[in-house]
Amino acid sequence: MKNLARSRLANIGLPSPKNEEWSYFPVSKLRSIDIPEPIESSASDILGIKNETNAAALFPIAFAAYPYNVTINQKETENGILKTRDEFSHSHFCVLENAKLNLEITGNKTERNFISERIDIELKENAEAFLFFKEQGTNDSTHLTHFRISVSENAKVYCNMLLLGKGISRTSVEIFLNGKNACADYRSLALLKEQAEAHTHIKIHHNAQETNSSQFARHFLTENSYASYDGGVFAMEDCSKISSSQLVNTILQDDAKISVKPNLKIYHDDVECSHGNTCGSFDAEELFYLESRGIEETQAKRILTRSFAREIFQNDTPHANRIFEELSLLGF
Amino acid sequence: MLSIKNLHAALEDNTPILRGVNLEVKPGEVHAIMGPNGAGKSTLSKVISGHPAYHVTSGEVLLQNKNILDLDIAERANAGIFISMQYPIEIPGVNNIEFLRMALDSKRAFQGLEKISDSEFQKILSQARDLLEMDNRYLERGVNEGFSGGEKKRNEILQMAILQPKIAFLDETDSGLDIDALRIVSKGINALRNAERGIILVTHYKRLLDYVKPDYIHVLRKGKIVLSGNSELAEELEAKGYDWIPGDEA
Ligand SMILES: Nc1ncnc2c1ncn2[C@@H]1O[C@H](COP(=O)(O)OP(=O)(O)OP(=O)(O)O)[C@@H](O)[C@H]1O
Ligand SMILES: [Mg+2]
Repeated sequence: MKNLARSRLANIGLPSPKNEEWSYFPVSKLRSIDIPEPIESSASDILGIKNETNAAALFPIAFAAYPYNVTINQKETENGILKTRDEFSHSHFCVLENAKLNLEITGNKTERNFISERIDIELKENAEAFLFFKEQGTNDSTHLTHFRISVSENAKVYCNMLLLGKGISRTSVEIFLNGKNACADYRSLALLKEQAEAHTHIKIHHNAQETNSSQFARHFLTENSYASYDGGVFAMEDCSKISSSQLVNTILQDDAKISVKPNLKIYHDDVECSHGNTCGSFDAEELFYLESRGIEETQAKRILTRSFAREIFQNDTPHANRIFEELSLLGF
Repeated sequence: MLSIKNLHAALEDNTPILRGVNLEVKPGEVHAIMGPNGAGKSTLSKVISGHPAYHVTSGEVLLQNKNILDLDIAERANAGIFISMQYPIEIPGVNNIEFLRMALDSKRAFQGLEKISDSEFQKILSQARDLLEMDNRYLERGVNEGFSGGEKKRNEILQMAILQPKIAFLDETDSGLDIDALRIVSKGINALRNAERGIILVTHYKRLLDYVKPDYIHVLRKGKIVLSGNSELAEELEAKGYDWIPGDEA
């Protein structure tokens, strides 16, 4: 598989700013990655490597020392914490029928400047995965994280993403809804300051009828921070009764910036599809209401950011305590 | 207690809305303000409370002889001004009870008091809740979140009961209330009526004034008070409308 990935990388080359998928990202940060000579490989292509267009999905396979494989047996529940180990790492979770995975994915104590990580999750029928991903870089760090999640009939994946810190990150998530009633629920919150950048790329493929996806992303950006959100939803011609939603809300302060690109390719009429994008400062009427009750402006703003941040996540997800604990630590 | 003297206020683009409002509210008095749509009634409440969409071009507003126009919104509220909004907004994600407590603590901090204790707060909250006959389940939600129009109005008066202002400006608190809710809200307002507090009621209907009997009724038209009278004026206005009143050639 390593060789497959290497030859694919040699083929597509390092990301360039001309590549649409990397247009918001400072690709010069990746210049030092060496792509080795391709070697013939006869490995079977179970992870779609031969057609992969995202270099961030290939680096970890091409360069990780060894993949980390976990299988969760039928009807079992696995609670785990996955900490980034190396510069390049690749983990693969296979969640069998009716099993459940609760996974927290987080950085490690030893900070690295460059990390490229890939996490594959395969959900069999009726399986569920609850993911909590926390990205928290430091000043000069560049982190690439790629998720590839395949969801079978009646299986569900819930992604709770927290993008924090001061570094540059690119999080790409590709979800395949392959069976009837497969469902993806994606929620993310980016709280950025200083020079931080967080780039999100979503691709959700509705490959079966009666599949369901929702994306709910919020950004609270201050100082010189920058976020981009590229949300792709693809529905095949023969897939009816699909529902998909995408909502992106941003509060900008100081010199912060955001780029939002909804990318909806729906080839069927019988599809319920909505998307929305709001960007602004605090709601003047909400602020007025709070202040008119005696709450001073700075506190009123604090209350509104806190609710802006907390509303994303649901109280009943298995990681709710962890998420709200992290937000409290940050003063939200 | 509240003196509004020759108050002129305009929008950001300098469009004048209030064109010389004069009103004197003494402690214990209830004043009703009526008048056609677009007259400036809600604007008056917002200018008094410091809404950023308007600026005062001349005149003054004194609360207990102190000019409040230099204070920010929160300071005016903490000094004792309360407005019940014509269209209370929803703030989902901000819990109602926490919000009430923060508002109350802000006022206490302004008065140099320490934060309210759990038990004292529970007592105040349950008294207000009983007065407005409001269910706990409303209070556990976000501020006005998913409330019906009438429930929002009731929640405004509940906030007034908790904050105990010196001056309450109630903007169309009766609009959108069903018969029972009007009775409950009126009962609430009457219970909050006392010798130290001034109340200003904005309404379009005599109905509310049958429950909460005002000492004075004023007609605001085109940004000015053009007629004042006692509580009998309501009947005349209901019968004749506003067109017969002279005095608004601006
Ligand atoms: N923020 C604003 N922007 C633009 N116009 C405004 C604004 N606020 C008030 N106005 C205008 O000022 C006038 C007075 O409005 P106001 O809401 O005070 O009227 P009102 O007397 O409360 O009417 P109603 O009985 O319909 O509630 C109206 O013509 C209104 O359109
Ligand atoms: Mg009005």
